[in-house]
Amino acid sequence: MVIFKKFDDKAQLHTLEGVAAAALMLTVMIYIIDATSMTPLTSSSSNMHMESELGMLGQDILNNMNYAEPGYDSKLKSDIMNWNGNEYVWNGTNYAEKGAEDSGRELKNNLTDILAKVLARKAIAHNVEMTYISTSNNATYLFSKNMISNGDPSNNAIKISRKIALHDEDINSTLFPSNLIGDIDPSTNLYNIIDVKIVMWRI
Amino acid sequence: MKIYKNDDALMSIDYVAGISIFLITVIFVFQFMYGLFIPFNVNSDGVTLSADRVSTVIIERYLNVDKSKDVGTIDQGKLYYFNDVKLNSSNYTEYKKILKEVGLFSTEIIYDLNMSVTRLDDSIMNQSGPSLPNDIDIGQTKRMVLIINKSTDYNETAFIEVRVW
Amino acid sequence: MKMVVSMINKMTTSKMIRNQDAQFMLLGAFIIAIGLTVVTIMLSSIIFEGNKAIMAGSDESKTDMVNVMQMAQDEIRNAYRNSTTLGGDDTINNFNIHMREFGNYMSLIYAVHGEVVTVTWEDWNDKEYAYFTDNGAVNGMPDWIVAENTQNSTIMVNITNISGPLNVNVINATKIWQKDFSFPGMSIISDDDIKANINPPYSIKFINGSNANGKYSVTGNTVYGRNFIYARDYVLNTTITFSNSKVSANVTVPISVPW
Repeated sequence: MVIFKKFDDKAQLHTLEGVAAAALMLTVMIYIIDATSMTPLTSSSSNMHMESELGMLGQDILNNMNYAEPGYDSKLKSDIMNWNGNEYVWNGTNYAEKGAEDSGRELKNNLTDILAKVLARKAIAHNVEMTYISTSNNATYLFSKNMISNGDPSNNAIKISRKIALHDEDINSTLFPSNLIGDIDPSTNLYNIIDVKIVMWRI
Repeated sequence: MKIYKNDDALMSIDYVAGISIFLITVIFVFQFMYGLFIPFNVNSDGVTLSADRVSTVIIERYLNVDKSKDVGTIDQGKLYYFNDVKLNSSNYTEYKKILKEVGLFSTEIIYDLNMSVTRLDDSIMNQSGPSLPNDIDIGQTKRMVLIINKSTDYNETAFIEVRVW
Repeated sequence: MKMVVSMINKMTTSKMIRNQDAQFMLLGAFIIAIGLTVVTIMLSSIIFEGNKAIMAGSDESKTDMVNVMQMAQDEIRNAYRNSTTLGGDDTINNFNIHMREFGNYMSLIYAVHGEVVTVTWEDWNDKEYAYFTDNGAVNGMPDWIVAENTQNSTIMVNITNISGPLNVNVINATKIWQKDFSFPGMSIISDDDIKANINPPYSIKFINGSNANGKYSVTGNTVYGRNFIYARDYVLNTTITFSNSKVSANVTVPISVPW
């Protein structure tokens, strides 16, 4: 009589199979979430709307400053013509000269008026940059200088720009930095074209 | 000759461990993905977009100064007329008419419109339209405008807030 | 013995051939992973489309285009005033040089933002003077108000061609004083002339402006002390093309010079 016992000697990898399945699912999940940057806030478009609202506010500020009756200069133009070329920074109450904050020299013009009321007191940091054309050695360059500088903008900052043309007859203020912003065309009445950029970001 | 067949119902421990790891992971993944869907249920996109559009239509078409090349300058007379006559919530026919003109009135859904004009120091100049509800999403847009009156040489900067719900 | 061995062989081989174990755990994991990927991609598309709708609401190209048009209008008027004030033989040439420089620099400064801008203009060589309508064209409104709330003013009208009567009305709250023109030539209505006939504040209105063309200028100040000047010699058509990656536009604007 022969008794045979069936020995099942198949090796079972169920545990490892379970671990592998779990690792697979978790890896895929982590990868796709990283790739599509899904966060609990991503689905709400309020971030995008806040940015576009800030952009519209900047446009409205520049539109406001650019209004002029026929024969008169706009507020923005007279601000540029009375600018002395220095940089200013907001110190909580007004725009003091950068590098000489204790000197008491501050910037007070139409632009600072509106920016202080609308942006500075609502915790929206801003830089105002002037880009102008400069011709030297038969080549044309574009230079930028900040009128108001409050630091480096964040990643989601908004930049709004408006261009203004200056003419020879406008340059009569002794403050105007003619060595900085020069006449690009002495043969005609056109003096320069300035690109006023406001960069805004929430802090 | 006997052949013994082993027919005990048994689950190997190996299998229990593996399937439990697998099931725990499945449950965790589904819980997590469910959490990502939650913000989709509460969404005020529609009213916010409508508020944007309506504010642009009102400022650039209804209230703008005639023959002006500037965007964002509005006529004081037109503003008063708009607030007092057109967006007068007590006069329902006029209110319905203005809703139709700005595109908030349709056969499927009707929105409500409220507009307020405030000075730069946040004091209210004017408010018109039905009063705001407390319990539903409201879309709001804030724009800055220059109000001028050519006959009286008046000009003032103000905020216009348009709310839609 | 042989029979037993063959039976064992049969049993083992049949087991091996009919091994139908499947690895459902791994299969299940794959299915769930694919399902996750599909769902997340759909979600992300929905979010993208929602954000795009918000972004489309505030388009920057419109304000840039309006800016170009405003600058072109101011510049043409300035160039015209400057070249005609300097006088001499080269007025049209100086005007064209000024506008050409302006066009070039505009293209340069807009190119920095990724926008292509070109400005083309016409000069007044062989051009007729504007009509006395509100927009200068022969089919504009013939009866229109030039100035309101005026305290002092001087009106200059220089008619080149006239085919019917042209009237200038000075209107205050109680009275209308009318001055008629039927022949070409220059006429000046001085402030004293007006004050002798009518008391300020008054408005100045042109009637039947489509009957005549020529130049006019009305200067003075309002009751609020603000000086004004309204004048028109010609209406020059200016074409502005603007294009960036999203939009491309071509606009022709009639601009009245010098103011």
